Amino acid sequence: MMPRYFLKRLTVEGFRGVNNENDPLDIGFEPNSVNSVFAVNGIGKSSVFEALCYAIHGTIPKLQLLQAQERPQDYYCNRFHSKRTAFIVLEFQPDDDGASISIRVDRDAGGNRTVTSSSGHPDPEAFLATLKEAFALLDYRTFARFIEESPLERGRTFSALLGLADYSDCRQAVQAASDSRALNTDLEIKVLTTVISAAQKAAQQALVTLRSSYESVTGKALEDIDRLGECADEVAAALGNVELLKAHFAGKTLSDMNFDEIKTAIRTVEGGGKRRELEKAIESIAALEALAVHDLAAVATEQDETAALIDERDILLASTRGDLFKRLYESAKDVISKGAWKEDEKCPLCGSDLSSSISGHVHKQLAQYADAAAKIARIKDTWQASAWKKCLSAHEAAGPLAVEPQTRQYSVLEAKFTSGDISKDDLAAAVTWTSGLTGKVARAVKAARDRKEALEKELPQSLVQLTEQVEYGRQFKDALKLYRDNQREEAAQQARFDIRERWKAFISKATTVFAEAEAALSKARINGIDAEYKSMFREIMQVGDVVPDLRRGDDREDLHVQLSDFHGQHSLSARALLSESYRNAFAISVFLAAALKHSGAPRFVVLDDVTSSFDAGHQYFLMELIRTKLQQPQNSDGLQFIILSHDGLLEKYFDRLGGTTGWHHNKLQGSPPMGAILHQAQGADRLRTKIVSLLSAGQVSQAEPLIRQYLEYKLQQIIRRVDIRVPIDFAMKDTSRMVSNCLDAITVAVELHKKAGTIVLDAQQVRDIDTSHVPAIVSNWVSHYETGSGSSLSAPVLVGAIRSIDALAECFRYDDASGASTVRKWYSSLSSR
Amino acid sequence: MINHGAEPANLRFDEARSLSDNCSAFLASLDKVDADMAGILRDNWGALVAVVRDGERDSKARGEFNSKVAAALDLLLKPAEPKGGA
Repeated sequence: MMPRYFLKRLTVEGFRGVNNENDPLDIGFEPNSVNSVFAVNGIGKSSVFEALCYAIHGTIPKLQLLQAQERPQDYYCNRFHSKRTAFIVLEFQPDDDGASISIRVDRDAGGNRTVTSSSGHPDPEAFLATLKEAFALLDYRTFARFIEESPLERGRTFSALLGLADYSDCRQAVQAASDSRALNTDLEIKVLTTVISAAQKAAQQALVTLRSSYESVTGKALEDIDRLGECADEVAAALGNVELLKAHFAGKTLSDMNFDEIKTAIRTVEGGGKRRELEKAIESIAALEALAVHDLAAVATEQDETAALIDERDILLASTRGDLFKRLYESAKDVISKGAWKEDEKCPLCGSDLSSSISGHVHKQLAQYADAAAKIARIKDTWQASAWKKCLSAHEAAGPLAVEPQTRQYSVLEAKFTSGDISKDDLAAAVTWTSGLTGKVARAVKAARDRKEALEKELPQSLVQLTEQVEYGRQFKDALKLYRDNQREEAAQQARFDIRERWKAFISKATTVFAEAEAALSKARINGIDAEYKSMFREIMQVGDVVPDLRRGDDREDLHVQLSDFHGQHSLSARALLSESYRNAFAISVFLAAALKHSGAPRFVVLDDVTSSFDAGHQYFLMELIRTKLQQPQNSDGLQFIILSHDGLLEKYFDRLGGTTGWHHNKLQGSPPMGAILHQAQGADRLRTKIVSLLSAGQVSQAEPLIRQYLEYKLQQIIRRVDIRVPIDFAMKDTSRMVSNCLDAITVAVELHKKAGTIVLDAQQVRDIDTSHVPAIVSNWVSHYETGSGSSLSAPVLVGAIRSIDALAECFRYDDASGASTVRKWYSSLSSR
Repeated sequence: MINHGAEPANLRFDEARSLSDNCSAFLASLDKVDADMAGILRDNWGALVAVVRDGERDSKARGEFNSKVAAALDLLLKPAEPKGGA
């Protein structure tokens, strides 16, 4: 069992709103407690969340949404940090009592990220990658999106949440591999079809020659093409019976025959150019007759179809606006699909209002380009698979037609069809050219036959026939080889085609098998958290007659959010009926239920401002749910929770529980983004030392925000320690006047207890408060820094203010000598020790 | 050949097992569909998984996977080499 990890400590400097140059923000978290971090607005709470995002995911979602020209890379490091560098250190504690792991993520001024481990982890980047679970870092937007997004997007989010993201990736990969269009391209199905068709045509062409030459030699019709071997023997036997040829055929099969030698022997017997001419005439007739295999009616039909396709293409191209606009529309599509432009009714170029949707317009324009491209591809495919192409190629290559190479059109047409540039005029010229060639065949055959007849009359009859017989024998031999070669080629390519079809059927089946198994697993996981999330929702919202329900699509990754019960009505849309707080509670319940079931590396959940839509009551119910049922070790399978909030009411809850068993509270204070952020537990002593150091160096302006922070910390410490009641609007008043607010609350409380005669402070302490410390703080700080009228005070005066606040705090403490040794303690209240 | 009669209709991923183990079970189950094809898929599973990462589809990786499949299919068609030895 691999250990899981709690988040033990976060240290940040120079990142986002956290400047803290040479004085990093350092927050400790307790694995066995709910950890709360409170800060009023603008104090850096979001920067803490973003630091965790950046460390674990390498990005910040908010900055990812910025457009490139806004230079998001310039906003990771704090803009007031002198080096413009940042680091984040995370300390993780394994849940098996193993050694802690410390990971440091640096970002330099150039935006480069480096990850190291001071604890010696061998692969810190890989370790961080194991923490990229969908439930570890959650903010309000995650929950809002979960309900609002499409069922498919929700399903994918949920797959990740259920730990099924890898299964989803695998299924999508198998689906991608079974995509018919991609498979046809990648496995060259179309090419194979063309090659098979060409081999078939060539074999048919050879068969025509086989039939005619066989009949010429043997005087019989070739009826059974399955016995071509026997036919070859018959041809060899017929020729071998001729006295003049016997020596050449003795003991040989047709395939062994050297017809050139035989012809030479005949020429030697009678010699003369006319013999050669007769052979040529016979060759020409055979070659021209072989062209008859091309179906000219089919060629004409293809030419008409191609003309119609070119017309359609031209109409589609006319509706587009050229390549420049195509690039514009593609860029616009990118901008819209990546969420960089969200105002669909405005132009992203000039910002002006539009009467219709920009995304719809871009989609329509690109669809026109896609239609035109599809038509161009179809024209090309039609040509490639056409009988016309083969017909033209064969006619131009046929020797007896004597087509001069420089006049041939086949390669020109091939280039134009391939590039898609074929015009209507090109097509018309090609049709005319082809018709001219096919028309020449009949005339050429007649001319060759006439010449053959004339030569036969001129030459001695016996040798004329012998020459013819030998030539037909050669033709039979060559055609037989061609026929068999093409049959083999067709069989080989057909086998390649068939096995690819077999793969297509297989991978399609595999996709179904994987998808069904994944759907079943997903449904099982949903069922596994069903009771949990419904129970959580009930506890947070305190309702029993509104019951949310998750439903996964049977054959898709879609996840539907429904209400199985809505005040007695059933199977209704959650999106349509639930208010924002209910939706939020639904999403939180689902995420937390899933997180509890998860067994991934992170055993912590960071919740950033997730209760924004809740009123105080529902915030309380959620926090109590986390505290009593979800946090480990109360729940032995539970998680460590870290809750970030700026909500003043929630802070009261945090304050009440802070420091108790099972709850660890941090409060952030400071003056970001220029000054430092510190939290109360980080130690006021460190803050005081820093102030004194700055004042000693005469750096008054740098010290001022820290003095204010120190004064606020010490005064609130007094209020909390001696349980001074504060007005209900205390935390909501102008925070720039917090020092005087605190002083007012303390002095009024002291005055009240004095008048009631219940004050526990000794007389000297009360006198010092009234006559010395409070007046000193008012005159040395409040009067200058909270009225807005004063200029900076000198360093010695500010050191005096620090001494006064320390002395004021001491007035609320006493020496307890009741034990073995004297201990300095806080009064428990203004009226009791 | 595809054996539609013996399809692994009841393949279920085991929640207690890892993705890797479940993928192995998935690939093994496909032997019933077509053992030759299942062998090719098994041999090239790593290349297939690279086609989709973090929900993002990589068409170049898909092309590479299909290219490996095409080569394997052609290899399957070749007659077995005669065994070595004199």
